[in-house]
Amino acid sequence: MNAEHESSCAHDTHCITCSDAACAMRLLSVDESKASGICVDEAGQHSEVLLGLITSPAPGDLLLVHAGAALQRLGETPTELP
Amino acid sequence: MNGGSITAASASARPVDDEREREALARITRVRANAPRFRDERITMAHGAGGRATDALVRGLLLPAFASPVLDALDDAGIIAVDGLDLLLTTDSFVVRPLRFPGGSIGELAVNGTINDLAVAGARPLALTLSLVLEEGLTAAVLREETAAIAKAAASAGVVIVAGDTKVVERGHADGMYICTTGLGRRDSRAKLSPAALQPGDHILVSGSIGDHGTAIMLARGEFELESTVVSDTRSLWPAADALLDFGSALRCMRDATRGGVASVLNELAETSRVGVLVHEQQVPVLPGVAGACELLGIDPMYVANEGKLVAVVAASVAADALTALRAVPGCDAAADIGVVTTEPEAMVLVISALGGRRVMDRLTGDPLPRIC
Amino acid sequence: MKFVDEFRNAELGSILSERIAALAEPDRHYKIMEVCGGHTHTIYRYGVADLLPSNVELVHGPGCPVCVIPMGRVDDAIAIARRPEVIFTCFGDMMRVPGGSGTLLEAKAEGADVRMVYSPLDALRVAGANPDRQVVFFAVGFETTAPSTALTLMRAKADGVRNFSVFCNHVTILPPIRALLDSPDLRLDGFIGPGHVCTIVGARPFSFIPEGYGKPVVISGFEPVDVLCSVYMILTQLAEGRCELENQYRRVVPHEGNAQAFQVLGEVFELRPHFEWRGLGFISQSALRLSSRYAAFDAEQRFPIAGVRVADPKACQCGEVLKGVIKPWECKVFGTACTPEHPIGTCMVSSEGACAAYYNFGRFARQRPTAPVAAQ
Repeated sequence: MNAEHESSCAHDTHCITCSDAACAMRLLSVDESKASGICVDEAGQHSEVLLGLITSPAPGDLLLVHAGAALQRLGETPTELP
Repeated sequence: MNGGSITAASASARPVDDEREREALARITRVRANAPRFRDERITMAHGAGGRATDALVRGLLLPAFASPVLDALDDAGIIAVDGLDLLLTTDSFVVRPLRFPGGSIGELAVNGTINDLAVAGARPLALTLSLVLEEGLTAAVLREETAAIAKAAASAGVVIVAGDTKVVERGHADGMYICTTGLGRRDSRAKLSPAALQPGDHILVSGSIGDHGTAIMLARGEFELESTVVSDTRSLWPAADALLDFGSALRCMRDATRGGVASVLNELAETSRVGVLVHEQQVPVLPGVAGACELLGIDPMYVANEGKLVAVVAASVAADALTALRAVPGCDAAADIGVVTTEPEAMVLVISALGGRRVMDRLTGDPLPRIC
Repeated sequence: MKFVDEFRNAELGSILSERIAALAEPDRHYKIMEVCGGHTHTIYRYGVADLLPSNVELVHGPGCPVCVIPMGRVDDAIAIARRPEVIFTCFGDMMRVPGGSGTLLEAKAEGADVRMVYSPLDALRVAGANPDRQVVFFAVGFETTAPSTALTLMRAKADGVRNFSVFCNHVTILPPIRALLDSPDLRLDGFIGPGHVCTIVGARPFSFIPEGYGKPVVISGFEPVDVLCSVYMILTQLAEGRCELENQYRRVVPHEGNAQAFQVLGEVFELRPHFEWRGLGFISQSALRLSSRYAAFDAEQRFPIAGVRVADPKACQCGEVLKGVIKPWECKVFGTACTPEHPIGTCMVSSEGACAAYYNFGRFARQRPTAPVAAQ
């Protein structure tokens, strides 16, 4: 019974997957055979991310990641608000 | 900008809508004011979270069964008067997984957790009992480590272990080990504490950054390669409590913010004192690593357990001095004044976000992070 | 990565708040709908409504993919989870959704092996770690999440994994919006479009709203300042008599969708002819199932499921809340029989459901009359 994340989801949290929450992660390395790479987030956590939606992913890319998959490459600076 | 100024008529809310909303909210308040009933058919992890389900279990099942006025007060420790001496007794079990985590281990938690319940109740901790439930197959090396951790934590808090028990259960139970400690303390004469003593205008202090412990546990459990710097904050709160007790009756109440976090403590106090609480989000100290990890998992650090932080409510007149005194205690340099007690909304906690907008911070419903202490 | 701090900037927030107040015509009541659970969350968590004049109202539409899963499908999931050989994996919010007789969380308490995961890849890993068990993943989510399920299935197929399957309940965002717009009792002035769904489908598909229904749409990011900016852009359109699709989330959302994503989705999924949306009824071509190429991974084919339709409790008014016709507190059972601990309907079940969000965050937050922002 050593499953990680056995918890239920409380209302004082929000379910990040169900709310379409995505986060910016930096791609560190690519494993082409697995179509995935290792990314690191702002908290310094590393995780494996599926890269099948990104054209030519390269280490150093800033990626928008949701539910374990990279959706989009991000520019480095946000655009100005109108 | 073009567009006219806003007239008074449009600025006021539409009366009919607001009236209906008020009625609905009043209905909800009445329902919530009813004593919780324990109606679940089985125990779920939510019952261990320190939130509403735990509350229903304790107040709906346990309190009525034991008919104990001291227990009914639901303070962190129970007071027993013996020949003019106020003794305080408290107990806690520790089922944390994993047993060792950044910043500490189950042994330290077991000592500090119980000491802290005494400290925030205004009692100098004196002695502990120690019950060990060990899993068959636990290595002697782990047991030695935890024994040493327990001894060290007790010594550094100036507390003696006076009784104990050891049981062993078959492989597959107890996840290594469970520990239960009971603590005895003597009420400090300066203490004039009560969770019903909060008054509008009082200030809310925390003794440091919040959410560290629960976050450290969660990261320790994750399958990620850990590069985070977040560590558990487990420590004895007696020095901090001692510093605050100097303020006598201007110190209304203290709580250690364990399971359910600061949010749960504030909700309990607001309900018991029938006051409102307003928290300024920007004043709440949160370490960047904790904020980042909680953000990623969709958890609010206000609900995450701490093992070395207290919440104190003090009269407005002493708030600045109390904060200074608290910051002077080693390890409490990040202590902060995070909010105020209000008259309304009664028994509720509101948060003002960095943007200036408000939201309710209600009691915990489920269990975002189980088995953290 | 400074995105986060910048977009929570309180100063930007109050500037936008003033501009919005200046634009809002005093005698007009504006209703703006957002269709994304993430936006609902942002609005409540930061108290965004406090920064809007009282005649600009935000309505929470059917943007929570968990909320819309019908009770019968939850029962099917629980039936699969109860099988002794199964390890049932799902996202957090799904564990508390009530089916006809209980939730996955309750099934877990009764002994079913139900585990929370954060991604379909997590679930595939569980399969790898438990070769003698059948691991089933409860897939939910819009077009934002479906690609992750698809990529995971592609890996499972490439690796020849035999003990992994998916119970697919992915839904698509446009059909319910169209259904909403077609309903006669709806009155809205504008839409805030879902930011992350659009990274996959692009902003372009949402042009049917201004073109077909005459309502402005602004695709929005998720920080509170993004949402305020989008409201400002909608009011600006209305004030200038324009009706267009605009993209406030340009930093992330492209106009055209992600071609690779379409390819991946087309490979792994196909559209169901119709699917029942809790509270909204049957909507055609609004949900995904596994394509024949991936039939081996389809939990609906691997396990017998009853597929029984369970009607919502009579007292439940979620359908009206989802369409924005009534507010959460106007539902007869809101806060009494239907609470976050004992939810009756979808809007109370998920943290992003309109009723749950209001109950947990919004109650009392508007008690005092909103102070008008002076706009001279």
